[in-house]
Amino acid sequence: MANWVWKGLAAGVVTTRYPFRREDLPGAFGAAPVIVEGICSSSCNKCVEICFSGAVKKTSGCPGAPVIDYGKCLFCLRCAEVCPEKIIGLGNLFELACLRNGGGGEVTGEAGKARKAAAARRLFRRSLHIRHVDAGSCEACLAEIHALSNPYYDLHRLGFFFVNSPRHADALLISGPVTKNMEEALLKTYRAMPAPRLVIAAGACAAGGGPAGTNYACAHRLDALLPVDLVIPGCPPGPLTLLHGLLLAVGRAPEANYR
Amino acid sequence: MGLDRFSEILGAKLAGKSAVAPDHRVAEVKASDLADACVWLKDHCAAFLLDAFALEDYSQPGNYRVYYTFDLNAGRGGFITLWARTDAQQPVYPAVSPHIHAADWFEREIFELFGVRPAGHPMLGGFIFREGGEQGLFPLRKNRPNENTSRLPENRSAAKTSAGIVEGEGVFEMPLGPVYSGVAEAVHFTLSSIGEETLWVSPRLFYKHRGFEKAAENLSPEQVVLLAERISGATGVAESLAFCQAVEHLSGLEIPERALYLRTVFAELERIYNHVGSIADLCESTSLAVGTAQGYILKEKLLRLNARLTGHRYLMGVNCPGGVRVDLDREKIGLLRETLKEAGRDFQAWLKMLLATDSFLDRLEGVGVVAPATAGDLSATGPVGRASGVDRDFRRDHPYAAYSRAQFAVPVCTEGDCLARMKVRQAEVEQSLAIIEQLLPELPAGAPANNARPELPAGGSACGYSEGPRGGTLHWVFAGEDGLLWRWRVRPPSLVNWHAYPVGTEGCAFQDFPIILASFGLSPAECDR
Repeated sequence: MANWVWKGLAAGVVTTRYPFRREDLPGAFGAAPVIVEGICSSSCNKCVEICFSGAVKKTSGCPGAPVIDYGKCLFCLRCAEVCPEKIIGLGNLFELACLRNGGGGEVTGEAGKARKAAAARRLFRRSLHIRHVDAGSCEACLAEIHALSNPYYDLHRLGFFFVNSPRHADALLISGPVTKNMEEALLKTYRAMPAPRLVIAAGACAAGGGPAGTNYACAHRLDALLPVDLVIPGCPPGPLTLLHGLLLAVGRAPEANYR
Repeated sequence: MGLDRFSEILGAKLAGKSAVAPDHRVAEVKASDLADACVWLKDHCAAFLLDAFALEDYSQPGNYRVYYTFDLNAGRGGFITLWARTDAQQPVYPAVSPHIHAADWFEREIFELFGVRPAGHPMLGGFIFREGGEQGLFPLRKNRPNENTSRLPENRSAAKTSAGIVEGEGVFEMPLGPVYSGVAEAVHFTLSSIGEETLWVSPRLFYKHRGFEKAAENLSPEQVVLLAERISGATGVAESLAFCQAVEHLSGLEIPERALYLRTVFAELERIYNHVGSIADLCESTSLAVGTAQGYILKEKLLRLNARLTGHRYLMGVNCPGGVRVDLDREKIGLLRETLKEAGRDFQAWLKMLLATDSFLDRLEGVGVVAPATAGDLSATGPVGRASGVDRDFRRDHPYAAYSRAQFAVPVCTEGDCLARMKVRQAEVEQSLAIIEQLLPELPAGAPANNARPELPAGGSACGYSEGPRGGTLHWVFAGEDGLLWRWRVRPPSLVNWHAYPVGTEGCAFQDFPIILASFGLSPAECDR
């Protein structure tokens, strides 16, 4: 046993200083498609056509560059590959999470919802207990969520904890497109949680439906089942993206500014 | 040798031969002869059932076929597939599973997805879909829409999730899942125990069934690659490689030499980080905290290497029909060799300490034993099979990509316990490091991909395979109109290994359950698709 103690001590501290300092070790997150300055040809539609999940859109309102909905994006980077003008490039973007103000659930009206959601976020500012539900993810999201507990990311230092019982949970972290077979288990877990409760959608499947979309096996998207407070894009979202999302959920990080 | 005798005896039943992959023969048999022919293959050619699935006939929609794919004895033959037509009015055929137990779960899938009934199978229904749910939906039939209009579930009172499998005085049945423990995949277990002893663990899968096989219909091969990578996020390279090889074979697409080497390198990188992760999970299940932390530090280093080489931590987006989308330049190759050298050293030091920690080994030795004969009967694959003496590996037996150009050993143990599964993984990591080290200096120059579009001939079919970290995976591609897919069949390794898993838990102590689970390294996502 003693040699394990030495081994642990010899390994030293590897934990990232994020969010207090920027993580600059390469490889902590993958590449993301980003819109680079420039004006693209209005007749070219290659990026929209190649996008499998419908994340890239060109609206008539913005004749310049296309718009990327990161919630739906599978980060396959095919849009950047086909863009003849290189308007879509590869970027080191990882703070991608954005708020959806679903909080409260029973409150109606956008202003009321936003107020209620902000109040819940203030409440959990110092510590958040999370119950994770795998609603059909491909395992990559799950591996990244699991990686949050490894010595590199160590989410406990920031006051985040995974709990076993939904009764102890403040937030429900969901990955996967919500399969038909998991619907009931997901709703039961949500109902077992005390209010106020946050619902966090992690990954392209939970956030935007995922590559298979709704079909015979996945009847309803997550936002049709539960009021989603926060969306963490990524396929899968890397540990730093998840950390930023969790910090945003409790009002300790600013919302991503990528638009 | 075996094949010639097969032709002689089953000669009349062989309606035609066609190659759907190199070294893969296909023969039609009458539905009534199917079970006999399968048993004959098993008895006389030591054939090993890999997959069974149904298909709606492309030329006659509304008619169904069933396919049974076998691997002949290692190194002495290729694959052989027997298929049979079922009657259109009443799609029924005699089941193979009463004779070959490995067909059990495949036949249950055939029934629920297509409504083709393997007569004589003792337990049909309630496998993929829940009781009272989508029974009778048969979603993979072509006349069924790919949508679900069912209402939201209401707050029903707790339904009994499983039938009592073990009954008797003092038997306690503990349900576990699908939402359980900290961060875990959705799967349900029924543990039947008397006191400390677990009599039987019955896993209930398909909570994560996402309908990928149906979703791929009428998509182009380039699009289905994205789905193949996401069957299981951790084995995306193996799955997409098997799919791309099927597409390339069917369309006759030439693959540049450089792509073959790069595919091998990426597939081995995937194996290394998966095995490191599996062993770390095993440490976690035995509460060896420092060992777990060291394992995850190593895994994170490898994931970061993946991201620096390919832009994706889980190597998604590497394969495409015709080659690879990511090339390695001189700088990246230097980084790869340097990081792997360091990771190899760390790995050896970590494993040396693990194998010298008695409290850890005590939890693994002689626990969760799957006997070689049982593993063979259940067609166990990958490290699970090889730890139980199933000496099969697609990389060696049916070389693909650049495996024929590397020297490597396939580690096999016969103990079949948790320790054997860990040792097989350890030896495989060492072999994988050696394969990469051998191939990198010989990396041929040229383009990494053939950019021609794959043209799939309507009505054509092909089978691709690869050996992933969890075992062999098989992808069948059937082409429809306009070069789009008519049917995509995936046989992931976890589907067969989950079938073997309860055997390993038989009679185990209650606390050994998570350890046995971790040692199998199973993925519900991969199994459920």
